[in-house]
Amino acid sequence: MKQDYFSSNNIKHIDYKDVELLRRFLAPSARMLARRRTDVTAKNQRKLAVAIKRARFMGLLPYIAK
Amino acid sequence: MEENNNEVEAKLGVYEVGYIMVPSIAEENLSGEVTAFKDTLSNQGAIFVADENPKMMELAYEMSRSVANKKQKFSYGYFGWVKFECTSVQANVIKDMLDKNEKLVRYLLIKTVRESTMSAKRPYGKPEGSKRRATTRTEKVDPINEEVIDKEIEALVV
Repeated sequence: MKQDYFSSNNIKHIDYKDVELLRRFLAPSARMLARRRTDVTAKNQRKLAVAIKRARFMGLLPYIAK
Repeated sequence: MEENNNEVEAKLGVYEVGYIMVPSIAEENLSGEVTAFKDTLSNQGAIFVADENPKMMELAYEMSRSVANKKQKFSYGYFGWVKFECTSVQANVIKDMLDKNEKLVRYLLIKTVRESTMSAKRPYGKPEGSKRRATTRTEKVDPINEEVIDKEIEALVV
């Protein structure tokens, strides 16, 4: 059964500075994981994508990892 | 109509600026630079909600910025953030000001909420109840018999 990490932990806002949390939803190559892999709701997946993109822009996360 | 516009303009919102300061600033001058940075925000009418002092960190990738037609590259920077309350008009003015700030490698101005958005550290994966519990092993230890040990040693030596 699918279980949304953010809903189950009562996380309403996904912060781009929360790098440790965001890394859980990245592949080793630093690509974002698809929704079928993250198991989060569509709404939270969109929030997650925005947070990851913000973290990348600020140099907290890489765009690609070798 | 004009009243409505004034209402929209006067409506306060919570904004956050995440910034990376140039690494060429010495550690001892950093606090001075931060207060100067904050003063520029408060001069525009920003009311501070929360902040975190900048810390030196390695950037995930090399960033470049051009100042006066000179390209500068950065692999390190002081990353900090400040959360404040202001109107959308003031936020626009702040944005223009940050664009001109030469001490910043990069900044990000976003709309956010007053509450802390950092999540508490939680274990990821199976819930705690499903974890296997550690069992304590009790091994029976026979009392040491010196005579037996001596005999065994003698047998080995011979």
